[in-house]
Amino acid sequence: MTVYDRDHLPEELQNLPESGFEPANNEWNVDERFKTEPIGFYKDAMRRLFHNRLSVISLCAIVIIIILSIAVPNLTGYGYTQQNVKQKNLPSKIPGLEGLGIFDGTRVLTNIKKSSISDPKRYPEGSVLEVLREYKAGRQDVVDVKVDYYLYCGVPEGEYHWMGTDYLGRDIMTRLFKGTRISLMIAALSVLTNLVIGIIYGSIAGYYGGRVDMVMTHLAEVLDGLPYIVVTILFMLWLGSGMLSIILALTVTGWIGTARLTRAQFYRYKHREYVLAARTLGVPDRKLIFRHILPNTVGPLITRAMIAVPGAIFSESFLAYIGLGIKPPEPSIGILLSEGQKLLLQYPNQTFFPALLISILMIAFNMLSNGLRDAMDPSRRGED
Amino acid sequence: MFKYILGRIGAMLLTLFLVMTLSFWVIRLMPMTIFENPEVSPEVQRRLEDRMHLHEPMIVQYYYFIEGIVTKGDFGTSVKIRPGLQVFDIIKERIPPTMLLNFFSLLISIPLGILSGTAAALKRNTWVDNVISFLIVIFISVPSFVFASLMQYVFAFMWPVFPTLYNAQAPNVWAAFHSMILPIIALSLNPIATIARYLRGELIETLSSEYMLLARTKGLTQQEATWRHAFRNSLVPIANTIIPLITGIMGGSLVIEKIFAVPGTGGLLVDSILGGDHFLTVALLIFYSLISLVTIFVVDVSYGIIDPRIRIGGGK
Amino acid sequence: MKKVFILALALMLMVSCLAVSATAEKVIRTYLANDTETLNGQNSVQSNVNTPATYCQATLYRAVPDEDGRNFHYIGEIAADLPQQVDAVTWRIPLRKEACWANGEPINADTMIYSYKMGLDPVLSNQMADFISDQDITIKNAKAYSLQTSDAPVSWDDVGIKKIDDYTLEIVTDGEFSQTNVCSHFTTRAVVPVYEPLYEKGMAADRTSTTYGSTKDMWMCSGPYKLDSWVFGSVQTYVRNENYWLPELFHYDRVEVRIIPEMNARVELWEKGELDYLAPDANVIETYVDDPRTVEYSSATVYHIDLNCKNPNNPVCGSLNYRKAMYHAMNREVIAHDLFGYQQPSGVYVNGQAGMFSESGLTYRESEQGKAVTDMVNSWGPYGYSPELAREYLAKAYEECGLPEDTVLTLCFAYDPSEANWNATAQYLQEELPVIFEGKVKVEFDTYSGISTTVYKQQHDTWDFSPNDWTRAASRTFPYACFYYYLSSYGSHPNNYFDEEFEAQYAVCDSEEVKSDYNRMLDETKKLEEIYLEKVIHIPVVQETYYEMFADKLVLPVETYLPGFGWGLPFGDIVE
Repeated sequence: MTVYDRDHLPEELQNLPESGFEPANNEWNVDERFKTEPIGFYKDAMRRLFHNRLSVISLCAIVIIIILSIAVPNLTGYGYTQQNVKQKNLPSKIPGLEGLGIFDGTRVLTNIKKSSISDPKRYPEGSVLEVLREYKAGRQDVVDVKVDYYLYCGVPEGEYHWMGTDYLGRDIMTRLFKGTRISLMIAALSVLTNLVIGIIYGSIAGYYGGRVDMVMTHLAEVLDGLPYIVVTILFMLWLGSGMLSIILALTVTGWIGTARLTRAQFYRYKHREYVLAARTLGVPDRKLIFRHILPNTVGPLITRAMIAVPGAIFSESFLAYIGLGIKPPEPSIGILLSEGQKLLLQYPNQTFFPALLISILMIAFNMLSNGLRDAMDPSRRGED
Repeated sequence: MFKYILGRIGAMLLTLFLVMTLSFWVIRLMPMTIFENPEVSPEVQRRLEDRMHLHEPMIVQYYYFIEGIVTKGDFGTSVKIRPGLQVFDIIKERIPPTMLLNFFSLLISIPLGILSGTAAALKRNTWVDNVISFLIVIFISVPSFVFASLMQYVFAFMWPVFPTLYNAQAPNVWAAFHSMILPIIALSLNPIATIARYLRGELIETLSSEYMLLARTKGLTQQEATWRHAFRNSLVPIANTIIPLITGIMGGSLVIEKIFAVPGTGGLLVDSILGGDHFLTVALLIFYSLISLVTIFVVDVSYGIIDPRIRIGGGK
Repeated sequence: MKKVFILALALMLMVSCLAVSATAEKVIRTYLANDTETLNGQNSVQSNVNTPATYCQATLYRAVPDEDGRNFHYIGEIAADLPQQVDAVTWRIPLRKEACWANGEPINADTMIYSYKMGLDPVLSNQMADFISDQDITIKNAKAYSLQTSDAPVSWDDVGIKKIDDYTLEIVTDGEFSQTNVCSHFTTRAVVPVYEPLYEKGMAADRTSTTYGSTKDMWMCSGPYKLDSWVFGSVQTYVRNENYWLPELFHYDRVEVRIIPEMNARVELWEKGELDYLAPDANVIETYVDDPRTVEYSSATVYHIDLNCKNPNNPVCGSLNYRKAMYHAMNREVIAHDLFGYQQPSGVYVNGQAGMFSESGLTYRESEQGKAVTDMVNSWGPYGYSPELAREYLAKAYEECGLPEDTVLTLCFAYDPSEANWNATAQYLQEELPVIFEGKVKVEFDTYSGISTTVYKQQHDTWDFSPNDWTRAASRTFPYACFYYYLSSYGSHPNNYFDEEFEAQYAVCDSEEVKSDYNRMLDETKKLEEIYLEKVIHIPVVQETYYEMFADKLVLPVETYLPGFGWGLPFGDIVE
């Protein structure tokens, strides 16, 4: 390797013509253009969410149920409080499916005195479809029969109750979707209240830290020590039954989890450089909290809220069962389930349909929250 | 450590006091049936009310109430469910069935939950996972009282392998346990599903993490890596679910006990609330709080010993 | 591991086989919906106390079935013989020398005197005191003794319960009663003997209460069976009491009473054959109404709705026309048949059992007088239901109170939602009343739980309707007695509507002169019931029909339901 000195250049390099040089093509030097459009965090998250098939299905299911809960009570042709006590506890009968032998509005009655089925006042003409078994019990002739229960109760031809009717002859489908609306409302409002209280409490504790945090965390600890059932029951007793009391009862201890999560996120982010920078620039506390730190917690909070929605519906049904639910005649999924449970042996359809709906709702909310968690995971940004 | 435990005990006592105060004020301010018999003469009524201090201002009654508990362990007298009996004696008799029910339920839900959660995670996206995940959602979403009634119908009536009701007079331990299996299972479905769901999520996340790759790279087999790294790491956060699990089981037993006629505290609490036996309700609420506080304390302290970082109040 | 499991399985099978083979004795298995709050029959208004009292306690007299199963009669249980009349109002009751407690200690006149003295004690104020003082017979000064105050004391010596000698009691009544009345008076749970040592042991220092009967150890049996075990909230079992002196009347070796709150569980056990008795409720009656095993009878209960005449929110609540409007607005057929489940609608208040202990054996409802009232009610509409009359009366009420015709009245139906039948009825009326009154009436709810309806009414004044089923005053001898609670003189009346004419007529019915002349008593009762309907003291709705089922292996001692006796389940036998 030879090292050349400017003054001692070799002959052949000394008189190179100026024109032999041209500026280098500096295209490589320019910042590479983004191949894709620049997008924000939320847009990215949404994009990823909608690429997840399960999430989309769950979201659709939830939206469909919400739409149904608004539309169905107006479409069935029955009001949710409309009664027909002569047509109570009907089995389900769905047009189209009746021919298949299911949901055809029939019921098997066992151990019936033979004399009663020949009484046209009790069993109208044609309501007994089939005598399944005939035997003697003591001195009496007894039969098992299959009855067209709609005819038995005197329901006019062509009238259908897809999910049957309840103990007052109210259409269960109408009540179920009306109840879904109320249950979802209870869930959404209680979760929302929990979020608001939790975020504010957690932000203050997490941001200020020190003594403030100490006091606030301990206070939350003490409240959290109260068993959830005890507090809920106490609240329901205090406020009396009703939608508002249920929402409040679910809020009493519900916000603590949110507060804890928010506080932890604050601890994680408040010492980051960008926050320090903002603080140095004189951004006020309020703005620091809500503009710079809080957005980081949105992801986990949304996930949490999604799981909390079915949890609230579940709690509501528990309260309904022990007799602390919302006031009649308003329905809710919990009320329907606890009413159905009492008649489970006789009329299983009154439990089956609410249970099916609550399960679908739960699955959908769980799947959606999983999808959201993945989508909002900052470490997966840009992934497809 | 000692200071930490002391702090926890302090917080616990404070909470307990809070529960006592809260339940007293909430419940005792509500109307109460003391005299079922409307023909009680005013004089006798006054005498009875005097004995229960019902004529004093509420704050004085509150003092008597706290004093009774602290100095004599006296929670008052039942007025409705078992009139005349000391509330404490009524509860005492009811604790064993409830405790057994809750204990066994906890005992089977943790391993079963872990097992099914692990199975689902390891066999992710196979039929095993699908079946387990489906069951998880069903068990989480359908309230336990529906399952309890259903199980009672299927396993005690249609296919009578278990008795319909709890047998309080079983001639032997097996018969007693036999009659408790259905309530235990009914009570455990939800907790099993809760643990399984949690663990499945945790495990799947850990299994796809980078240190698993490292473990494989350093020569561990998939099984070893799963066992030593993924599984153990996922188990730690499970402890977080234990406290809500226990309170969940206690709440569930309120309902299950009624359905299977288990003579425990859960059914008693529901009866006393609906029956307006306020002294009993207050005492039961305190009892329930005590149980959950003790559990929290035990879990917290053992955690504090295992993992000092978790201690609360231990420096910021 | 597998071996151990199989071994364990084999062991379990063996154990269960053993358990099966051990049950060769005659066991009757029945149930209660809730456990008895106390076994002390003197101090519980809950009817479930009747079960332990019937099986485990002797009373002075016991109703037993006739040989032929067609009727029943009274025999002396603790009493040696039927009561002997000394004069018009004095009865002597001889006691058996062999009567004793389950522990062998004797029961004599002192035991009975102590029991009644305690039962009526003014300080203890037992809830069933009126069952001792005034049920089928009225014992002289007994009520005055139990309700005395310190400024007007009544001495025990003045009460008409006396000891003649160790084995003879004397009862002095207010007014004249038949021998049957005296017997039936001394058969209830309120007049069982109490065991003094335990009664005193459980006594509070100020003698305001006793814990007698609160646990198995604090109770002493004297009946055909004795309490073997009691797991509160789960099961009571009774076994034969070897010291009982009339064992040949009873056939079971063991009685198992399980506490089963859930109807589903009861139905399952019944269908599995693990219960020998089932009373289907409104939810399951549809399944069992045509079952050949189901039997039915009219009980002494008429479910009714009280009306508040002092609701500050209701401008017409004081109007009689408003009360009449509400009376005519109840579609009793629907409520009874569809909501209460195959029950009997009723537009009148005197129940289907009242008066059955008369000489004629006819109930008041079957008598000419009773039928006349029913006919009058039916002339208004079926069981008094008439939407036209209801609207007419409401319009009159509006006019009377100076309200514009199109006023919309909001009525408050206060009820306990855990009572399923009333829950359904309340919701039914909420839909139905606006239809009947063409939108002029709306119904709202106030639900309460944990307190009795009486207590609710004491603490609230903003209700309009409140369901009631209190029938303690319903007497099988004197049909008018069921109106007793609706007098202003009654301490804690369930209603706040009083009427002078009604009270005066009640006094006429209750007078000695009328009571001693049966036909006249029926006439006066008819007048009383007419005034009751005219003034709408409250609104009768449903005459309860009781449905029961008995297992096939059970042999009951009577052929049909005997009013005042029932099916005689305690005297039944088991034939496999």
